[in-house]
Amino acid sequence: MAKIQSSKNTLDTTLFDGITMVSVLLRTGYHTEAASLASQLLVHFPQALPLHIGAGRALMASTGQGVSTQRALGHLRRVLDSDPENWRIRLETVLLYLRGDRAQRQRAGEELWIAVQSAPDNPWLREMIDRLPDQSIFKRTQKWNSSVARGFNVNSLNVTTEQQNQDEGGVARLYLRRKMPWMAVEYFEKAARRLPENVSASRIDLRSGLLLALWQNGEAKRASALASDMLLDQPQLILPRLILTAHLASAALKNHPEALKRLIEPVWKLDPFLVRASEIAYSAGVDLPPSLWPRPVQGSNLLGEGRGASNWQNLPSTTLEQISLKLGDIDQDWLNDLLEASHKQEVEAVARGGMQRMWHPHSEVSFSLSELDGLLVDVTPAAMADALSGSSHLPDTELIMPKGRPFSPSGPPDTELEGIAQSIAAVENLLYGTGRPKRPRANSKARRPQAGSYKRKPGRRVRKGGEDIELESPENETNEGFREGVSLESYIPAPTRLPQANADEDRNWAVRQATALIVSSEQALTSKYGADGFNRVHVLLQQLLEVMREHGSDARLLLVDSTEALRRNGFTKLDPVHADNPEQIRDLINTALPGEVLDTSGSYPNTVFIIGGPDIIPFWKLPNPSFDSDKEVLSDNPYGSRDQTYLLPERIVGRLPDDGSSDGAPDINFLLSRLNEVIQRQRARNLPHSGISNFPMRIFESIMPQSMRFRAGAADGIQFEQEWLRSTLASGEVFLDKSHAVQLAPFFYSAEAWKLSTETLRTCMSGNSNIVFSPPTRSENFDASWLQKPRLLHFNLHGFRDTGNWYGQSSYSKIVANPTLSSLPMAFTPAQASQVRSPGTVVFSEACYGGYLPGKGVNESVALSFLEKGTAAFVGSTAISYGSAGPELCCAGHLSYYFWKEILKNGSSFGRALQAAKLNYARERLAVGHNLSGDDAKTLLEFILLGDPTIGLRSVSPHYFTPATDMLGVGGQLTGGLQKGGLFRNGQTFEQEWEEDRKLRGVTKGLWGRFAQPKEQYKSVPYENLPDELTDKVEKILEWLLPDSPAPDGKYLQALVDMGAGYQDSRRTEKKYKFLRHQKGGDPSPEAGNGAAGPFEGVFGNEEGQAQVVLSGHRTIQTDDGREYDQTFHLNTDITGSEIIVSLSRGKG
Amino acid sequence: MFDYAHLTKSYKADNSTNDRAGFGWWNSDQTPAGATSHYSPDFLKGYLLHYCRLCERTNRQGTIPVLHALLDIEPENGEVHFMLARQYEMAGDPEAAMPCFERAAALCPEKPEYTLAAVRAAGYLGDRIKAMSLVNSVISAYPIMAEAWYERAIIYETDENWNRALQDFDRCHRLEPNNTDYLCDIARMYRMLKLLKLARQFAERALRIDPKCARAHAELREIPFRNHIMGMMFRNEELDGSDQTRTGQRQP
Repeated sequence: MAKIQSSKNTLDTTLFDGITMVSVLLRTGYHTEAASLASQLLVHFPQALPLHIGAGRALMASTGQGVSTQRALGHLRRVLDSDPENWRIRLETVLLYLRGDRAQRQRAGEELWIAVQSAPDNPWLREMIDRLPDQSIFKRTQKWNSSVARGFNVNSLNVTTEQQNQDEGGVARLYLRRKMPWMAVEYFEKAARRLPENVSASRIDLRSGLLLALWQNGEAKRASALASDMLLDQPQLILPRLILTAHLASAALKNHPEALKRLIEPVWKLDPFLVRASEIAYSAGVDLPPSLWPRPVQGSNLLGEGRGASNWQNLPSTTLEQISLKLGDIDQDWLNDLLEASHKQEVEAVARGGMQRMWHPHSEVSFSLSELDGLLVDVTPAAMADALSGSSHLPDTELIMPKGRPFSPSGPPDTELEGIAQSIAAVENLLYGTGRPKRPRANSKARRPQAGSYKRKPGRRVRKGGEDIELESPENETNEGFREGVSLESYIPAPTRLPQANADEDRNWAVRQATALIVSSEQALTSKYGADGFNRVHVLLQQLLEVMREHGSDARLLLVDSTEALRRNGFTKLDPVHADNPEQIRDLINTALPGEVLDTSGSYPNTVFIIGGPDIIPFWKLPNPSFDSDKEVLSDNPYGSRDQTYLLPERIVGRLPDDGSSDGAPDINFLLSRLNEVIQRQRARNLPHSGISNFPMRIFESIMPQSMRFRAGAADGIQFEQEWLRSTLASGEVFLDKSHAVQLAPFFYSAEAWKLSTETLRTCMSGNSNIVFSPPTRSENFDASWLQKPRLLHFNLHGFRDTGNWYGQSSYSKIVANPTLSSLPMAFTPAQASQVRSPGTVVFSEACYGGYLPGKGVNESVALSFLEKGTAAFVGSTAISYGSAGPELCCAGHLSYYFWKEILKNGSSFGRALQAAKLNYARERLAVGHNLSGDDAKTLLEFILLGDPTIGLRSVSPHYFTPATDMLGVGGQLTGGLQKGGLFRNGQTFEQEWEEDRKLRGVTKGLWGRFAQPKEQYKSVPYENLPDELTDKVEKILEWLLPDSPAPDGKYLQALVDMGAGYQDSRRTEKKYKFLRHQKGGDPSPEAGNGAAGPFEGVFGNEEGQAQVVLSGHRTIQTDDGREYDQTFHLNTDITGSEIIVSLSRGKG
Repeated sequence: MFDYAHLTKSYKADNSTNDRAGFGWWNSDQTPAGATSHYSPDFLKGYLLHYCRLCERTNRQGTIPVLHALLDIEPENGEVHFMLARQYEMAGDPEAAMPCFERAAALCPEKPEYTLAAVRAAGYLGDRIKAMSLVNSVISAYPIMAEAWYERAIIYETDENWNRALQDFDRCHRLEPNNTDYLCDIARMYRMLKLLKLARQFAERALRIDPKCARAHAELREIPFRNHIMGMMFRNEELDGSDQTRTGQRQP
């Protein structure tokens, strides 16, 4: 009897590796084998949805007809049953239905409709639908797409009644994306009512949308009731189960972890590695107890050592079981090699950051939408539309092509072959990876795998990362099993696309990645808080680093005075410096950020986040460029500057102060809880503030209309974002629309004397926000509960160096009538700031010394009191600041205008907002031919940010969105916000902007030299010697604006001529500088300013002459609590020919 | 000879047909009885599958080992899992049948009957979540399949959720208007809801289609008469009152 050996080609593996294998096989084109492995795995894990996806996609690709189509459909439908809002899987079912008979084609149309309704503002989908041919099954979708989806605007969803009647949840989802869940609830309910009962019962996507809207609207009880109702009918749904578990975990089942575990268990079975479930939870804002989520074993990185599932804890035990798979005639060694390459790729992907959340980075078998970048990146909507309409006359099996195929952006293809190649790229490319290598065989007689017909096409071009590679024709297949040019390494992304967080060498990519440098001092912290205190801070700093890295930021810790800490954090070549020497610290920062050195045109701003007050990392003490009692200006600007451009820092700088009270022991808890808050907010933040992480840009790239594809890199992508943003944003100078004004409730507190300029600012922000003046309001009758709701606070009050209190001032007309009002009433005290919790609040204070920290304890500074109560960002001045007397905005007010605008309209992070505000301020001043005056320079220097510079309003106020935050939305697409920190303004490309900023910095760099020595720069002129024209004007202005002031004379007003006024040519045609009162001079009199008229020679009566005179005055003012101060005021007079521009700014302290 | 399982012991991995000529079970003088090693695996597999299909509806001894042997060869064959499950079910071992049904349903999502069998088994074992999930997957893929709605109605009925069950039975009835079973089910649901008039109407409707329908007759016997000439003889104080107000509120 001839004995025949039975096949022993089996592989013992786990679910995790099994999924990897299916994915790898799919990627490499072995669809039949992938289907077989997926099915074998399904025997052990019949409910696991990733396996259903793998099987479905493999079957979809392998034959393309008959039973397989139905089977593939069945597998994919099971996924949709659990995750009805997954529009990508739904799109794939559309493709499958289109292969069927007429009824099935009808169904395809319906499924496409639902897909569009679940992702109504997905630009990729929209564009694809635009390109679909006119077929009756697509008609409804197309009509809705063109009429409704495009009609939406951020601020108002103007939908006509007729369009609304068409809607089945799409409008509601748009509202949901725009973070208006209450509207979404309304529209979901409307849509459900509109549909007939039998239809609405089968539309689980509508109900789960409603559930999401309710949950996000904060109606937790209603949501959980709906969730349990849904689970009664549809126990396989993921979202309701998550929401119900989250609700019960905080309520009824708080102390019953076992019951919770039983509740969540079906989700574990459906989604063994919880990829999609965590995505859903993330986008819905569901917070589950950590014990219900599998997490990495302490101390091991993902996939790094233990490989795969074994280093996860809390995983259901079944997922760790060893199972045995029959490999058929697949070579085990070959498969193991592929597996190893795949693991390597995972590890690198993890190192790149941003992958922690994704436990199984295999997009081929993933139903996670955040992995969509890997799938969609090379399929154009047009090609997808072709595939959908069936206009490519090729059987489905031929729709295979290597990923990375370049699509010509417009125009017909070059050759016919090219045309065919383009059209066959559609479907499969959506799913699977690069060209299919020849498979090595287990034995020589084994059957060859089905080779796709693409093999016959000679010399296809493959694009990977931008450059075209000419592939050899298939004759060049090598014996190693791969076509020449394709090796195992080809399955690993090129290193340029995988920046690693800690690679010190090869930092080319660093130019493309923003680095957040957390700067502090070990010795200073140790001497202030003791070694134990430092350790506690250090632990939190490490946590902060981790969290920031999770977001894809390249965060590093720079403890400037510790060799060991520098080495530990990867700065192997840096030597420690003295923490009390700001210049040395800056040099260290400069060397620690080598990416900047390489910068030519494509750099991004790095962030310097200083931990600790001036005791830890001192302020820079810069010469005071203005004329007032300040000897020096404390500033953080130089930490953000690579060179002497102190006025406009290139980097984003922020500082997290600690308790600096000089008397008694400093309280470490202040710093610890601030750090904890920062970590919490970083956790809440959805995406890196810079928007530069690889991932979101690739998402943009993937969904972007063809004509807007990036040419070079992420910078172009941001340009697209900006254009998109601009087109979507309602124009106009109001930063907040009504609903946001209600949510954020801006609150203004101003001295009555500065009513006009504060009103101007208030109009810009939101016309009807609360505003309080002092007087009549004083600290006694200031109700702290007024601060309960507002999340944006603006203070325009007086402040002084040696007291924490802020003061108001009566308007001048009242003072004239009643001189007793001339003293300053106390308006606001640190104690009041600490009465009410102010979580996530943003404060801008124009007051003098509002951000002055040296020697200030928590109870002695409004800034620290606000921070103690949870304020996210405080912007204040470290010295005397200036503001305008009239309705125009100047100095501090002007800066705050840009700050608020940047935060509210552009969605920038706080740090970026202050940096951009300074840039815009200088730009605006210089644009009209002004030099920066001393006051301007001082304004640029003295305002500092206290708080985390990398986050923005979105991470502290979840209801707030900027248009950039909802590029994609619920239903599992990339949700949540992009906090923009990049250097981009509307309407300009990155390069232009960078260039412009560089020029601007160049100009200010030149200016700095003379501000450094102001006293020498300005030449004092006796007031009496000033030209009469000027003094007349000055007197008139003073009389009008400062009715209580004495008549100007030489004693009272110091006149200084700016000797170095290297004026730019004044560009009269572009005079848009409306803030300044300017008047034509009187008759030109060449005799004016006789005597010491040197500086005015050739000024009056001569069109060419220019001069700048600063009139600096001061007067004594008293406060109600018996203090006496000097108030400085400045008159800047720009004389150009016969034109005199006078601006008056008054010190706020 | 019932034990065909030994046939698979000589299963060969490849389908090569070498040295097949001249050998065969009919050629019994050259090969010993039962040694079928020279047949191609495809033939062998097909042969055994055919045998098992024939046995699908009978609890025939020896089928289960054959099915296990087939699974050794082809673990991802959903049909084999299904047949194995049927065998377990017929052998009175629903616990063993359930996972097999589930695997069959997962492996062959294009065959709704497998899934529905899994639904029944899960329902029998009281695993409501599993039953419901599976039946929903059929309903969403085949919304015009009355059997699927029926299975879901049964689950609701087990929950004593008469309204939901009624809705699903009603769907079945609309999909298959002449099926008297569904009419009887609807009548039963109305009876449970104490809407006796409607219950009677539906039972009578079933009798109009099939006057001999035993279920409809039984149903009518269950429904107490009220507001009916016959009911006056058996007046039921308990039921009076409620029926009058609710009758006619619902139309199917």
